[in-house]
Amino acid sequence: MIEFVLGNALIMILIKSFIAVGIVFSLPLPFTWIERKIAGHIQVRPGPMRVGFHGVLQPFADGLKLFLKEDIIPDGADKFLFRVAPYLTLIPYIAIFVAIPVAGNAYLSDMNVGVLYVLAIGGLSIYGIILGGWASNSKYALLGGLRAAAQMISYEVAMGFAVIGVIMMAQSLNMREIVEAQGGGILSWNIMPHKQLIGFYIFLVAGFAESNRIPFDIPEGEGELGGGFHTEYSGMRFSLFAMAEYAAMFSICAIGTVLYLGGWHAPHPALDVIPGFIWFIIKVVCFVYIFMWVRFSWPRYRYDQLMALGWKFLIPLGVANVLVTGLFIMLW
Amino acid sequence: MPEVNVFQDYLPVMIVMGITAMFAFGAVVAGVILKPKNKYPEKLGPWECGIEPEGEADAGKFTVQFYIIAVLFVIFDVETLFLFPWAVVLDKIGMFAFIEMVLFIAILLVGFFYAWAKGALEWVK
Amino acid sequence: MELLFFFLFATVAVLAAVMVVTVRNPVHSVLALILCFFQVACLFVLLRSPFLGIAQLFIYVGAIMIFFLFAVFLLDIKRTIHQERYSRWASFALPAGIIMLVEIVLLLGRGKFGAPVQEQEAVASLLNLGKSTEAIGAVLFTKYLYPFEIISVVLLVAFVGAVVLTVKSKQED
Repeated sequence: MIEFVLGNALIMILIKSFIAVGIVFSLPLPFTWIERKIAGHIQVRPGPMRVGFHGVLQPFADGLKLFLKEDIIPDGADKFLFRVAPYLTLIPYIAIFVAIPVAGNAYLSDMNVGVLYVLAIGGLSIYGIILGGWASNSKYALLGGLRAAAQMISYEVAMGFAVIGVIMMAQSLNMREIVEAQGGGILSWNIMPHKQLIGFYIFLVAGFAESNRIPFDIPEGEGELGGGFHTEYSGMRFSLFAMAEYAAMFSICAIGTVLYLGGWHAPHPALDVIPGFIWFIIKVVCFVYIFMWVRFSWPRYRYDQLMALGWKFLIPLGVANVLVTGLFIMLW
Repeated sequence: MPEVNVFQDYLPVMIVMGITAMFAFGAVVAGVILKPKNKYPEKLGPWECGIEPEGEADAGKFTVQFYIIAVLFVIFDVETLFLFPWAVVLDKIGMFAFIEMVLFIAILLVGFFYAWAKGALEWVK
Repeated sequence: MELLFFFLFATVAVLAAVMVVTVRNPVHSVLALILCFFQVACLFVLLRSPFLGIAQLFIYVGAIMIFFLFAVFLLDIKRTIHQERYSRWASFALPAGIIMLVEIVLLLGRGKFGAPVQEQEAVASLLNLGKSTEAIGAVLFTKYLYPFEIISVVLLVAFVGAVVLTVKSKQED
């Protein structure tokens, strides 16, 4: 064990980790621009145009602005928790990427309990949101934090049931083995109707809720709660929360790609000449596009409707999906 | 004897968490250095649409609904956890394990539908 | 190397546990308890049982502590912070703690924490392959079938209990 730790393996892990974290940290730069452009074109307007060619430098300007903003800790806030909360939200979302295999040999960790790890770590980000909301000593923030927590735990249950279906198909909790079980063309992907289409549907809806995005962005609904749990945050700490939201979206998309879209596999075996990680990136980007498309097409849910959808529809549907999948596996 | 290489599998988790914390902390420190410092009481008060803040933002005035959701969540989470090893070994053990789990879920669904019928899932009364 | 990690996790876990009972603000207490549970999860992983470690993360850190936090929020926190450091419950808690400590020492002394699971060869081979999830599944749904089904009844009781308490508080409104 000592040889391993002192040897090259540790250095490799360090380099890989730096690259992975660096990529996740820089993803918001292009994607905020893309998102605003998509928003613009969906709503028949050009989107950002002024800073650079078609506004490509806009994210840099926004980033610089965030660095130069005064960061305010409100009077009466719990100063320690107020400072810690953004990290508590961001770190778990980025830690999710450790278990995600980008290609057959490109992953940080090949842990045997990958799926469970991803769900468990993702669930920890709730603390940053609820403690940040509480520490602000503001009514909007407190309400936003509580709503976010209740919403995220509700949909975590639904997501858990959806994911069980995939595990039953692959007979493994290992992310790499789950992808390998989906090899051999688009018909073997779990999104297909004869596999886990219903599970994918539950996963997608729960994914919107888990990442607090429209149509389920009630925790930060600016129309009723100011900014929700991050009402009192400004400057860099606010941007950590914003980055966490992006990381959440990307992690949901990456998990969804691994579990339902066949990971690094090409839609047809003949297309395997294109390297796996390119397929993976294409799928994740398509997935992210769905998130953005939905954001600019759907109105926001009301809170009781949101909870009713989670508890009265998705969870029973998820349980039914698990049982039906089990029955099929038994009778096959 | 082959064994789980916990270091190879789980050390990256700690390293990635550490690097993330470092990056994030660096960003916050840079922000603190670059930021303007111009504080006054109105700015430091909690935001309430520009109106003078009224009362304390303390908890203890919530609908009990949040608490119920948390209880239901804990129960369902435990149930999900048992589904994981079950899903992995279902093929090996076969019908026996399947019927077991159907029983397990059925008993829990009784509780779920009881909660539903009693209105524990209703937010608007 | 492994020992180093063990001491790191164990020390942080114990320190966090001490903070849980000494910190005055209940929300900070909850945060310390989260840290403590997280370290325990790391210890499980060090013991070559990743499934238990992640399960600890999933249930204790991810679910039970959320529940604690909601419970703390439902109480009037601002008042609790200014309470005495040692409440009147300390006189009950101390003997209970001592009794539990004695029990743990007795159990450890009698070697009750041996691993009977490894008696089964199939399970042992799964464990050697690092498939702790499969190993747990293999015994849980065959050998320990009865306790497993009892769990569902226990959870049912929790369900009904939670609902009964709610209906009561509804009438108070």
